[in-house]
Amino acid sequence: MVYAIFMLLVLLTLAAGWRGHMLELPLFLVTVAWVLVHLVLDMTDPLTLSF
Amino acid sequence: MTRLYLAAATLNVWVLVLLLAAAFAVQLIVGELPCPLCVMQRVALMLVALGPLHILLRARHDALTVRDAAVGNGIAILAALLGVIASGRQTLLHILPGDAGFGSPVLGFHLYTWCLIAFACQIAASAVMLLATAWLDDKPLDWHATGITTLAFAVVVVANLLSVAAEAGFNWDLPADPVRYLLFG
Repeated sequence: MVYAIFMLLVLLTLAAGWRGHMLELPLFLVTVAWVLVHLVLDMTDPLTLSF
Repeated sequence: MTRLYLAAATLNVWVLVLLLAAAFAVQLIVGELPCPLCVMQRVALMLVALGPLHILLRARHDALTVRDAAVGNGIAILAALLGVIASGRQTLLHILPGDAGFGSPVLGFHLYTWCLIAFACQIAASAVMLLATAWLDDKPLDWHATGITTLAFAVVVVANLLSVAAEAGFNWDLPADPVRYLLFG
């Protein structure tokens, strides 16, 4: 589910960019930060994303 | 020069769309479901594409400015660094001699190794694009490829979204070694 939300955020960022909305960059940065946190948390628990 | 710049940004998006489509084709044809780290690399590829797309979308109604180009390339570099973390981690997980790796190799390399190469190339390409802003001119021009390029990207993102939703079912995370679509039991 979390990965689908990441992709939904990518689509929302794209839509904001298409409309020239000021939320485009904040949405991108929130997504990057969330993905980074997800990756770093995984590195502290080698059993979840070990493949 | 702006025309060449937009052509390069368009090519950049299409290369990323083709990479995502190729990974999706391997999933559908070979029947190998992507693991969580594989999906993270797909997400990073999508985030990278938002950079050149930002450049294309900003140039639709007005002349492309150095500011727009800088923001677009910044987006691409930041997302590519994220991709390097994900693909580098997966490559290191399978680097020991005797480890068969995860999934089938394509042209001698596993998909995560190809991803690591792609993210490194993207950082280099974005650096070149940043240098090329020195030759941007102030003329607005009609660039008709933006609509179809954006649509192709959106289609590949939606396809991946549906696929990963089916794979995860009602679970928050994916299993480490997925073998079936959990939504369908």
